[in-house]
Amino acid sequence: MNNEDKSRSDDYAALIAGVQRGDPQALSEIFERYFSQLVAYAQRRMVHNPMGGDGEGAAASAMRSFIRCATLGRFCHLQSREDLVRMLLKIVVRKAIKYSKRDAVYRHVSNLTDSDSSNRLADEKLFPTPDVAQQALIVQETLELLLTRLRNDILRSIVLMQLEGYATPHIAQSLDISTRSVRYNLKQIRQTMKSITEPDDDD
Amino acid sequence: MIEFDDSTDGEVWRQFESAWKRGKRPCLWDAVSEVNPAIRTDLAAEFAMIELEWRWRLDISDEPRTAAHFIQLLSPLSLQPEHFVSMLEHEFIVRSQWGDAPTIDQMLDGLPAQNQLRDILQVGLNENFPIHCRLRSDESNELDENEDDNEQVFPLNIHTQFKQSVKIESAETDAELQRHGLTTTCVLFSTTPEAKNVVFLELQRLSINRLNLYARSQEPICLLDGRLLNVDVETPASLTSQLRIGDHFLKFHRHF
Repeated sequence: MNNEDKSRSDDYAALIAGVQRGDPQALSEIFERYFSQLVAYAQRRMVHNPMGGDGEGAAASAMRSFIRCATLGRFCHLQSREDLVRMLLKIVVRKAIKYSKRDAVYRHVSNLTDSDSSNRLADEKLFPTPDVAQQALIVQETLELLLTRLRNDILRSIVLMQLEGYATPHIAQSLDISTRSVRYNLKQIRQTMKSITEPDDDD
Repeated sequence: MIEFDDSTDGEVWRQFESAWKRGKRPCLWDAVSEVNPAIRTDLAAEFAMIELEWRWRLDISDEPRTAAHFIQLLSPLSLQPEHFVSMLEHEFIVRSQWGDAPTIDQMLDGLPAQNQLRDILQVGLNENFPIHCRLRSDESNELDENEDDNEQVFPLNIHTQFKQSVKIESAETDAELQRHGLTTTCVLFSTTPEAKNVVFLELQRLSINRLNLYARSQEPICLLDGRLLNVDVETPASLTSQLRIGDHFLKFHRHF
């Protein structure tokens, strides 16, 4: 490690220690260093949004959550720059999904109020609308996030089998567990899903 | 019932389930003895259902495996009405999947509050063992309900999934279906304005693989395994029965 590398490493160690303490100066520095990158990252995640996507709003919301959690001392586990970046990206992905959903709802309502054209309904029936594509993307991203968060293969298998339309006894037979355990695991899955989709306080 | 904490109660749950899977027959009372007293009754009820299920799945017929047995076993605990209902429904689902496939009537024999329990068991049957109906022509070309040509060939709409809502355009038809919907779980009806009877065939699920059929009009002619269905006469059938309606066949598909 040369001097420049060592200096940068020390710099990050001090920054992370500051985040762990919830130090306002360290959090301000995090904002300065990462906010524009988070905006760009959120924007890329929302690229399929027909309205362009509110990447800045999602990144700002992510920063608010990050700062709030740091102030509450929830980032004691962060050890390295990689941990820090991973945490920031994780938060911003969640926010991008939530902001995408919010925008999809907004479009839906505005479409209803502007529906004078008699061709509109026919067009929507014939071609996939941006809303449909947007919704599909949201579902896909939410599912990916859910599968990442679930802690074991049994839970992930149950999610996928449910999506394929299998009923509980069939899932129980396939996974060699009882139907009550399938139901028990479904409760855990719903709780995880809730933590992904429910808006945070700052939203 | 209350929610269990996955970190602590979940581990007890996994150990109990795992032991049963290996056929070790763990003692239910031992399993719940160490858990928080606030959740002991609920957890004991869950473990009773797990034990009941594995006794059927492992074909342990030398020990009792009914909800009534486990309700008696857990009588020292203060079981709530929802525990009784859950256990009864669970026994029905387990026996349907891994046992002797009883009918709803057999499950309800001798029990109080049969109307409410019947509704619960019917919902359980339809949710856990859904059936789809498909109408096929003589040439075995599957009809697509959305194609106008097929509607002209055979003007029939089918409530294709039991206990699911169906889109009804006509208010009269809707009212007629509501009337029949109180007693049945699947109805076939005509969409032609000149049809004398809107509803002409009702199907009622009895168990995982058995049905009762009720023809409600002379036209179109309905044949079950080659025999004419008499109007308003209850006729038992199975999912493998061949049901002919006019020039078409109604096929049942289990989707598990």
